[in-house]
Amino acid sequence: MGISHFFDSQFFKSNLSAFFKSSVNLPELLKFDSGAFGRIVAILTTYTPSGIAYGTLAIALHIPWYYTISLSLVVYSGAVQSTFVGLWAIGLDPITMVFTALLLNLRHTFYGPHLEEKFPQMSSGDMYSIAPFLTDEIYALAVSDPPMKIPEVRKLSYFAYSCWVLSSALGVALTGGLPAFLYPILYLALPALFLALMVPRVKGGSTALSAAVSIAVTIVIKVNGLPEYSILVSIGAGILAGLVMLKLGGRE
Amino acid sequence: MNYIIILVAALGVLSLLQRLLPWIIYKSHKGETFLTNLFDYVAISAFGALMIENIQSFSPESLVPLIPAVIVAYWTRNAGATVLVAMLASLVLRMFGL
Repeated sequence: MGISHFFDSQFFKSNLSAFFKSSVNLPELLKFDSGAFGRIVAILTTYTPSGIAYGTLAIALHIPWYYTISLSLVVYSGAVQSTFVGLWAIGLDPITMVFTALLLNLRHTFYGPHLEEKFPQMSSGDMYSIAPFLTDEIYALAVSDPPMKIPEVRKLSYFAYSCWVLSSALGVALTGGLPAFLYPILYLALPALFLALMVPRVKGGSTALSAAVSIAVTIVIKVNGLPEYSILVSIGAGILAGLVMLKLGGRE
Repeated sequence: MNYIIILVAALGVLSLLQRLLPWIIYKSHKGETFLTNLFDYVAISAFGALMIENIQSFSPESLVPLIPAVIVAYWTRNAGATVLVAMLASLVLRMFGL
């Protein structure tokens, strides 16, 4: 099937129309249910400081503003963007970056199918309009009890995306006027950000071992001045340690 | 620096495909406890490694502010609050020369 045939096909037309019907419905977008306020506050308090921290850090580490904001616009993943900033700081290796991004976002594989189970009435249009904006927080809120309705999930997804992009841009704007003595403090923000991303995931023996092994191997790599791509060895060792402990009956 | 544009675009496409493709292809699977654990290990190992790689030096000035940050990360699970506390602790440390 040629590409022109694909664009003429009923499949493409029906999905495109479903997408617009689901996502560009202004009256529906402006309606809110009773739990909306709490969810908006949850997104604002998590996305805004993190977005500002990301934007500020990226600029402090001399990443041009257009890359910083483009990453928020097209990648829209705090974990991958923080990794980009972290690897930029130690010398960006594209293969390590793509491989790490692939691993970090693997968890998204299960968010969509789980939502499909939770909302069996979800249409293709709903799927196409929500999937690109699905994050850890949106997924968690969508499947929490009581579960949200599909239009609410979509609205929250768009709100969270806007919040992330705008707060990243705010971080970029704020960094321009920073005094020089604050830069060493900003450099500390990056390990603190990774710490903040790691700690909530440590829930038991095997996850703690995974963190400990990964940290220990990275210390050895850093102390011995090994190249940046050696970080993949630390990640592999951490994953392996967690899996071995899980296999041996480690409790979560 | 042209490769950066390609890299940003590639990461964007990768990010989109990872969210969308499995949902299209894989609609009726459940109970992936093992894989959920695996993804946790991936994230924990990557963040742990990147945390150490990005510490400027193994000195008290770099390491001490991370102690209150661990506590805040554990209690609040909020990345913004954790970063803020680490930066404030670092500022206090530098101001008072502790």
